[in-house]
Amino acid sequence: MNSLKRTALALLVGAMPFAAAAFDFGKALQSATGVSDENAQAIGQAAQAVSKSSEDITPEQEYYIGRAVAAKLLSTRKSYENQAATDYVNLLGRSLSIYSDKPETFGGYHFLILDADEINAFAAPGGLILITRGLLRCAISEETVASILAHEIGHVAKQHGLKAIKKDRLNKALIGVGSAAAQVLGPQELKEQTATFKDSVGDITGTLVNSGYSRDLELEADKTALDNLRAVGYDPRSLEDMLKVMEKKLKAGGLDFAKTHPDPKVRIAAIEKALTGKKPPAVSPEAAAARQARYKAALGNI
Amino acid sequence: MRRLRILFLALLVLSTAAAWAEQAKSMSVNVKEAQVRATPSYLGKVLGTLVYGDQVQVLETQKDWMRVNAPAKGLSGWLNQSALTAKKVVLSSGSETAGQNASSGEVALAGKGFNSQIEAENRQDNTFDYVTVDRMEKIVVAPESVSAFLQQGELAAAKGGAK
Repeated sequence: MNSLKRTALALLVGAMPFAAAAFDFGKALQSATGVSDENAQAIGQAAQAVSKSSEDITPEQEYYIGRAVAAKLLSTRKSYENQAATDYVNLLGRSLSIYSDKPETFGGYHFLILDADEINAFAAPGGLILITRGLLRCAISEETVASILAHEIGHVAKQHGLKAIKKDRLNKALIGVGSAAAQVLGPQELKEQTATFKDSVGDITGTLVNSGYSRDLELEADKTALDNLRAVGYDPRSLEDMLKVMEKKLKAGGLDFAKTHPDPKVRIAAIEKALTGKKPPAVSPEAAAARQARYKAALGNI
Repeated sequence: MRRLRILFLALLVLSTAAAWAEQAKSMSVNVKEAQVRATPSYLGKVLGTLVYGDQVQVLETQKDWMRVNAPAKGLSGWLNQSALTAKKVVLSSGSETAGQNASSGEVALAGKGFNSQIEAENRQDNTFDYVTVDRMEKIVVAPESVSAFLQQGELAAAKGGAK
């Protein structure tokens, strides 16, 4: 055996335990301590899971929360049955969402118009977005409708809804009690977990309908909307145009959007600051006319 | 000489480990359904669909897009990175997709909290309108419609390349 072969052999033999140790360290530890797979997992969880935050919610869990939030809101609100209008907001919404911070969510973005005169919109976690006819009536163009949708997509992309869930519910739901590795929940656990789920959904709908997000989160959704509008090619100033119309239409102390959103003046000021020195994107007269025509055709009589 | 050989050996072991790590850049699909596309764009042709928990090997990255290979599905193409996670996806016990690659040790936290088993229970409460939610989720916009819409309005697509 020459020296090269010896080196190669030594290398192989030498490398093996290293590799094995790297791959099976966890198992080796388990067998050395006699801790079972499940118990090791549970111990690991107990050590980590002292307190849970909305960041610990998986996309799949976010999806089920969002569905329940939308289902709750829809139980007392009628959808607006107008295929052309629904198709248009979904086409526009899809065009925006693929250029957003978070193009894909577990179940995707979907848009529905509510048959209500109130001026309002709700974004359920995961991308189920509800907009009232009243709000769409404030719009004056495709760009202004886009600005509403982009703001709502911003709430979804930044997961603002999940932040409304109270911490003790997350601890209950995500840490739980009993056997963490249970395949299916037992009757008692199922009852408790369903109650926690409903409470969490209530935290979000309560925020969407009554208390509103903090001013910081609203301004964050606006900022995200500006970036999203620009990425698609719309003039971000359309959000300002939209807010100016709303400022006139909203009644102070009203029960809808006015209650859950900061004063449009505050939002307009922040937008103007963010857009200082930024030029609007160029658009040909033909394309501008095409946008206005399709907007009129779909939402002109909303 | 012997010291030198040990050093050489140690270096080789390290580099082998590094090469292994590089090769094993695998990710999991983090959404219910992810469409694999021919080009790094949402307007690209759809080659096939992967589902939650499917594992892929990342071959290349371009901005927000990753060219991936999913040998189990015989699919290769582009996915937006927002559809992927570096974490191994642990399928929840109550999930419709459960059972494929979840071993009892992996189920762990996912068995808890907000899943389809809880939703099934919640559906019995008539203060939740899941029928309309299901109808809403069925609304799907075709990539060709988006392309035409953007083109006509001189939006992103007309200006070259989608994100």
